[in-house]
Amino acid sequence: MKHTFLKISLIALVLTSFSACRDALEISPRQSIDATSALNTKDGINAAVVSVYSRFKSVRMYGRDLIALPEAMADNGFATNKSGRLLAEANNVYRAHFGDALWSACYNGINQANLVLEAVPTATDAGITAADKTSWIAQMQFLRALYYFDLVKVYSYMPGATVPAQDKGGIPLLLKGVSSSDAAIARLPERATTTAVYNQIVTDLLAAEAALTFPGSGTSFANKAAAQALLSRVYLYMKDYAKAKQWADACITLAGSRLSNASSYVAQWRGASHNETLFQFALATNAENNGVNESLQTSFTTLTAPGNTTVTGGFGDLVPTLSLLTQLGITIPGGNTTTNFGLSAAIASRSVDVRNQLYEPGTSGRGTSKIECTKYIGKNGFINLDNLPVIRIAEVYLNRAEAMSTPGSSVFNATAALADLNTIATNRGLSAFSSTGTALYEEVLNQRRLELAFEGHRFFDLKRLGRDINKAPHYLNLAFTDIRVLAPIPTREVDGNKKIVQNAGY
Amino acid sequence: MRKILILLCGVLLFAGQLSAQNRTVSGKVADASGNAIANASVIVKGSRLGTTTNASGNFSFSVPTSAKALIISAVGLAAQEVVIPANGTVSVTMEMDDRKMEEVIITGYQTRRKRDEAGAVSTVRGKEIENLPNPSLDKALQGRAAGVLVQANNGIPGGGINIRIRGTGSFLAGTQPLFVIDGVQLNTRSDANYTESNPLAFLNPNDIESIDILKDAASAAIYGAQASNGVVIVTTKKGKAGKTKFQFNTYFGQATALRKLEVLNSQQLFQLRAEAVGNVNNLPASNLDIRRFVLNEYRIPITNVTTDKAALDAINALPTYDWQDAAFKSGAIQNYELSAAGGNDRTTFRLSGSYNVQEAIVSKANFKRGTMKLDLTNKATDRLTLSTSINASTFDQNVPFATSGSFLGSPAFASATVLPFNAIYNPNGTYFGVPPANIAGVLNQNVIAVNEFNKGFNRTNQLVGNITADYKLRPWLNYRAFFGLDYRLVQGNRFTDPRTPDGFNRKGLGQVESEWNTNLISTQTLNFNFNVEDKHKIDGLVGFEYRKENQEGIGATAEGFPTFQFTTLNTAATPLSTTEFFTGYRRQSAFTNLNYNYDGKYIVSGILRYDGSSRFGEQYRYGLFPSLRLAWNIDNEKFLENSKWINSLRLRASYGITGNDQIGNFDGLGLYGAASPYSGAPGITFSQLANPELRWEKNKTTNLGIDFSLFNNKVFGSVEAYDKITADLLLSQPVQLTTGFSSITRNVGSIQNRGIELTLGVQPIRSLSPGGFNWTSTFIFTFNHNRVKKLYADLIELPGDPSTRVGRSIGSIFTQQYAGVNAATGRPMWYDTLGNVTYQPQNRDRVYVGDSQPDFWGGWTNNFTWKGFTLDVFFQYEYGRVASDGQVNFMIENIARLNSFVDVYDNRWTTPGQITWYPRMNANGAETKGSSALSGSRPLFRADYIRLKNVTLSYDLNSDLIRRLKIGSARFYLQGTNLWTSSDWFSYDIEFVGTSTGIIPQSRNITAGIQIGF
Repeated sequence: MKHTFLKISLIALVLTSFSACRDALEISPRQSIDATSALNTKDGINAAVVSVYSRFKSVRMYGRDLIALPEAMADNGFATNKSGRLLAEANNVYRAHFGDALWSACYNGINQANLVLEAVPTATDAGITAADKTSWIAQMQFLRALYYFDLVKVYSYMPGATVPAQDKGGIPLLLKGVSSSDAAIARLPERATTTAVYNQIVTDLLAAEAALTFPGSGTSFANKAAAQALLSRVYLYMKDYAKAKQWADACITLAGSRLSNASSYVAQWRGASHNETLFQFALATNAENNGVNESLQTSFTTLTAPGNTTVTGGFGDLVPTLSLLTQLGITIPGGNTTTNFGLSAAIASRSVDVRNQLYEPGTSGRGTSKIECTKYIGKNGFINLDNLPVIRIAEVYLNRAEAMSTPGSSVFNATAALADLNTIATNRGLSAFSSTGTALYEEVLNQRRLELAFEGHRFFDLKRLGRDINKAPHYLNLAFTDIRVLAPIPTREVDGNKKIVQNAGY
Repeated sequence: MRKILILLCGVLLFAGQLSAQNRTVSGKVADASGNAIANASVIVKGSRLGTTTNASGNFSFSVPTSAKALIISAVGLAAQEVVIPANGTVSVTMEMDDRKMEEVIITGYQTRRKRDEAGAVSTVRGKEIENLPNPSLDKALQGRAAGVLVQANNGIPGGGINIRIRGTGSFLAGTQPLFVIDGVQLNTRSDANYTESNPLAFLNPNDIESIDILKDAASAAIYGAQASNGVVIVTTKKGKAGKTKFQFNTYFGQATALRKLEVLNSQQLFQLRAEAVGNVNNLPASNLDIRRFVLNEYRIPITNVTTDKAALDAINALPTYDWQDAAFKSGAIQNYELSAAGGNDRTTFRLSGSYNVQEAIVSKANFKRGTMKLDLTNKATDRLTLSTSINASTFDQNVPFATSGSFLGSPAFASATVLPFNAIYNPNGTYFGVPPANIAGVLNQNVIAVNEFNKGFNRTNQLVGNITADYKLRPWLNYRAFFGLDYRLVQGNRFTDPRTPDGFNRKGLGQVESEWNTNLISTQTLNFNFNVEDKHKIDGLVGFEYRKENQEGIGATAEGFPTFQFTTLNTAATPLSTTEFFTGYRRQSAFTNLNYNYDGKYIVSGILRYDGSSRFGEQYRYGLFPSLRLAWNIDNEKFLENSKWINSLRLRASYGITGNDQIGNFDGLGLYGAASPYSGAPGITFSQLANPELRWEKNKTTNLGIDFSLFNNKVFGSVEAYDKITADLLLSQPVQLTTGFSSITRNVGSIQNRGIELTLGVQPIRSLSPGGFNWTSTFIFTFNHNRVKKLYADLIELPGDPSTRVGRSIGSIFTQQYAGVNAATGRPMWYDTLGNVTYQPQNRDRVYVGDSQPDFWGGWTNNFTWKGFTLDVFFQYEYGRVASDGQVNFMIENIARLNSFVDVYDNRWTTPGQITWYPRMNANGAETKGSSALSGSRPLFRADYIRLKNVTLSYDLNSDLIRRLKIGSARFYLQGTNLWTSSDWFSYDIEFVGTSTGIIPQSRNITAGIQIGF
C-alpha cells in the first residue's frame, strides 16, 4: 500500500514536472534574428543591402587580393619578403593564386544579393516606396555583376583568349537564393559556359545602368557612370569593341570631366576620395581597418606618410619591378639593374610623368629600403585605412582607346584612339604621342599599365590579351599556356560535387 | 513551479509511519589511531535497517530482537561485520582498506562501494596529486588514470588543457568530459580572450579528496546527453567531527626552461642567407654582390665593402646575441594553505584558504590565485541534514603579448628566430631598436622590449557552491534537494604600449572585456537502499534536474593615448569598437538508477535518463539514455573461498548510451547576424541555415572489465576492453560554397573507438614491520584505436578535408609524402600517386602519413616508503603520434629570413651528390615550378616520448618528536616536475597539441615544502 502510494507520487511528479515546464527549454539568441522574418522590413532590407557591399572590403576581395595579386602575379610587383606575404604569388608558385576565400566570399555575396532580389518585389512593409525597390534591385544587380566578373576573370579564360585544351568553361551561375538546409544540400551546380557568365554580367549591368542615376548616393555606391564604365571594361574583356566604345562614350559624356590634369593628379591621390573615381569601396571608420598585416598600405609600403622615412609602418611586401620603374621614368643610382635594385632605394632621376611621384623610397625599418607605391597611405585618416578603388574615369578613356586601336576592331579608329591616348598622356605631364598602328596599340596598353599600376589590373589585362608574362629579371616568365594562369577551384567544392570540373593541372 | 511540486511531493512522503522496533544497539566507530569516524554506515545484517554514526563516531538505534550482526562501512575503510553482543554495545575499529576494490566511489548522485559497481570507473585520490605545482586538477590526471589522455594547449601557468577519455568521438561537438565538482556541473568553456585561462584553475587541487572518472557509457549514462566524453567527478575534502584540526602547508620553488633551442650564430646564418639569395640568382654565396646584398639587408654599411676581404671582415665582425637568454628567466612558485576542520556530533566543518603564485618562464605572464573554501554540515534533526560547500576563488593572470602564434612580439617564437646580430640593449642599458627605430630582419621588433612595455591582465572571479538538504524519509529512503551555482566573472584588459612598434603609430591601443557566466543547477533526488532478507540488496535513486546557463559579455577598444602612462580607455582619443554578446542554454532531465546485488556475488544495475536540451532542433529536443551493467564477484563464490592466491576477482560487463550536446547554443536555428557595416550603415547577413532536425550524438559503449588482486594482494589491477560507437555525429557538413554558406550543422556518420586499458599494480617489496621498506609500482597503459566508420552520402572523405576519411582515424594526416632532396640539384621532392618523385605534388598525391592521436599512452608510478620517508617517482609516456610544430616549421624554412637550427646548417644541401633531408637554401621559399619546401609530410615528426614527470621525496616526522613539539603532524617534501624526457622532438616541448608556434613552453619545476598539522 505504502509503496503503491510512493510510486504513484513519483510518476505524478515526473509527469507534472515535465508538462509544467514545456517552456523551460526556451531561449533565443540576442545578437542574431530569425532568418524567416529578417527581410520583412525596410531597415532589414537596407541592412542586408549593406552586407552585399561590405563583403567586398575583405582582404580576400578588394581589401587586398583583387588589388595586390594581379600586380604580384604579373610583371608589376616584386616581393620583398619583408613579411613573407605575396612572395609565392610573385614567384607564381603552384597554387599561390587567388584562394578559396575569394570563391566563398563572392558566392556568399551573390547569395545575399539573390535573397534581396527575391525579397524586394513582395516586400510590403510600410514606408517602402517604389523608388526604394528600384534602387535596391539596381544596386544588387550592379554588385552581383561585379561579383561574377571578379570570379570569372580569376577562374576562367576570357572570351577570345583561351588555351582550348585547358579551358574548362566558366563558373557556376546561380541566380536563386539559398535559404534552407535542404536547398543548400541539393545545390550541386555545374560550371556555366564562359559566354553565359559574361552574358549574365552584361544583363545585370544593363538593367542596373538603366535604373541608376549619377552621381546618385556617391561613388561609394552603385551609380550610372560606374555601371557604364564597368560595361565598357566587361565588353573590352569580351572583345566586343563596338560595345566597349559605346559604353565608354556614354560614360565619358556623363563623367569625363572628372579626369585630373598633371597638376592635380598627385594631390587627388593624396585625398580620401580621388575625383576620378567612378566606383570604390569605402572604408569609412577605423573599425573597418584591414590592419597591419594585409591592408593595401602595408602590402605596398613601409611608409606611414609620404616623404617620412623615419617612421616604419607596414611591411611593404610588394614593390614595383625594374621594368615598371623604367616605364614610369624612375632611375635608381647606377642604373636600373638587378644589383642596384637589390641594394638601393634611392631615386637618381625621374621623368616628367607625374604618375611616378606616387613612388618613393620606403623606410629601411624592415630590411633593405625599396622604392614603393604610395597610392594607399592611410588616406582616410588612419594608417592602413584607404578606400578601395574599383574603376576610375582614366580607365574608361583607355578602354575606348584600346577598343579603337586594337587591330581588327570593328570600331578601329587610329585618330580617335590617339586622341584618347593623348588625353591621358598630356594630363599626366607627358608630351602627346604620335604613334600609329601597332605602336599606338602597344602604347595604349603601356599607358594602361602605368595608369592603373597597383590597382589590380595588370594580370587580367595580360590574360585577356593571351599574352605571356615577362617577369625578367626578377622571376621566370609565365607563359599564357601555363596552367598557373588560372586559379584552382576550391578542392572541397570539387570533392563534394562531381559536376564541377577542376581547372587543368590541379 | 516544478520545484514546488517536488517539495509538495516530499511533504506527502513524510507522512508515512515508523516501523516498530524493540532493542537498542549502540556503539562507537573509530579508526586505527582512535579517531572517531563520522557518517559511517551501520546496517543490521540481512535487513534494510540502519543508521549512521554521528560526529563523535557514536551510533545508537533500535533493532529487532532477531538481529544478529551489524555491517559497518565507511569511505576508504574496509567494511566490517560485527556480532551484536548481549549488552548491545559494540566498539569497532575500522582498518584502512588495503584492497583497492573496497574503496568507495562517487558514481554520480550516489556514493557506492567499488565492489558493488559494475561500470568502468577510474579513481585518483587527492593524495596522489597533492602539492603538485599545477594550478588546475586536470593536468594532474595525466598518466594516472587509464583511458584518460591529457595534453596541454600551452605551458602558461593556469593555461588550458585538453582531456580525452577513450579517444575522440566527435567531429564537431566538444570532446572534453563533463566536470562535476561536489555535485555542480561546471561550465568548462574558457572565457578569457587575452590569455589562456583554464576554467578549472579556480579550485585549489589540494582541496580535493578524490576524483572519479566515469569512462564507460553505462556508468556515465546517469548524466545522459552530456556524458558522451566521460564524466570527471571531483569530491572535495570535508570536515570530520572532533577537536578542530589545523593544517598549514606551504611550498616554494622555481620554474626553469626545459631547453633552449640550438640556433645559429650570426656568421652561420649569414652563410645560409647568402646561399639562399645566391641560389635564386645562380651565383655562389661567396659572390661579392651577394654578400653586399645580405650585408645591406643586415644594415651593415656597404659603401666601403668593395672587395671580398672587406666583405669577409664585415661578416666576421657581426656580433651574436643570445636572445633566448634574455627572454627566458626563472619563475617563482609559491603556495600557502591553511585549513581548519572539525565539529561536533551535529555540525562539522572544514574551512580552508590558499594563495598560490606561479610565474611563467618567458615574459611577464604569471598566475596568482587566492581561494576560500567552506564546507559545513549540520544535522538539524535526526532526519534532516543541511550542508553547504562554497568555493570562492579569484585568480589574476598577467597576460603576455601573445600566448601563441608567430607574432613578432611573441617571446618564445621570436627570441629563437630573431636575427642574432641585433643587439638587445644599447650600451647605456636602454632597449635597442625601439620605435621610431627597429631591428633588422623580418622580426623587426625588440621582443624583450615589447614584452616589457606591453601590459595585459586577466582576472577570474569564481564562485562554485551548493546548498543541500537531505531528509531521511525512511531509514532506507532519503530525499535530497540540491542547488548549485557556478558563477564566473572574467575581466581582462590589454594595452599595446606606444613605445612598442605596434603601438607607436597609433599612440597606444587599449582593449577591455568583461564576461560573466551564470550556471545554475537544481537536482532533486530520492535515494533508496534496502536489503530483502539476507541476500538481496537493492539500492538506487530517482531524480530530476534543471540546468540553466547564461553567458554575457561586453568589450571595447580605443587608441590614441596621451603618454604610455595612461592606459585606461577614457584617456584615449579615438574609440574603435564596442562589442556585446549573449548566449545560453537550458536543460531539464529526469533519471533513475536501480542496482540489485545478490549475495555480494551478482550485481545488476540499470540507468535511465531522459534529457531535454535547448540546443537542439524543435523536433529532437528530448532523448532517452539507458544503460545496463552486470558484475560477478567471483571471489565470493564457494570455489574460490579458500583460494591461496586469489584475494579478489571480479568480472564486469556493461552497455550504455550517452549523448553529446557540446555544440553552439543556437546551432539549429536559421539566423541573420551582424555583418560588417558599410559607409556608416549597419549590415546584416544570412549567417546560419536552420536545421530543425538537429539532435545529439549518440555514443554506445560496450565495456568488459576484470578486477583482480592476487598473491596476498601483491599483484592487483584491472583490465578494461571497450568498443565505443558514436553515431549521429554532429558535423559541420560542408555544402557547396556556391550556396553562400560553407556548412550546416547536421547529424551524420559514425566513429568507432576501441581500446584496452590496463592498470597493473605490483608490490615487489612489502615489509611486515612498521616503518619497513615498501615498494609499490603501478603501471597504466591505454591503447585506443579510432576509426571513422561512415560519413554521409556515400562519401569516403570529407570534401576539402582528406584527413576525415572512412576507415581511418579522425586525426589522420593525409598529405603528400616527402621524398627527400634531389642529390643532384638540392631541390625538395615528393612522391606522386605512381610512386615517382615530383617537384609539384597535386591533391591526388595525398596519402596517409600518420595519426595526430597517439596509439597508446599511460604512466608508471612508483611509491617507496621507509620509516618516515616516502619517494614517489612518476613517468608518463605517449607513442604513435605524428605532429608538426609551428616553431620548427619556421626554423627549417630554406629562406633564412629567420634564425634556424644548427641541424639545418649542418645538413642542408650544398653540394651535388649530397644525400640529405634539408633542401638547398632558396630565398623564394619554393624552387621554380616547385612546391614550397615545407609542403606535404616534410614538417611532420614523430612525437613519441617518455618523461619523468614528477618525483616527490617527503619525510614525516616521527610520532615521538611530534608529541614533544606538541603538534599533530609534520612533513617535509621536495618535488621536481618535468625532470627528464626521452624523445626526438626538437622544439621547446613535446607535450603540446596543435601547431604550438610561439606557445609559452612548460617548465621544469623544483619545489620544497612543509606541511604541519596541529
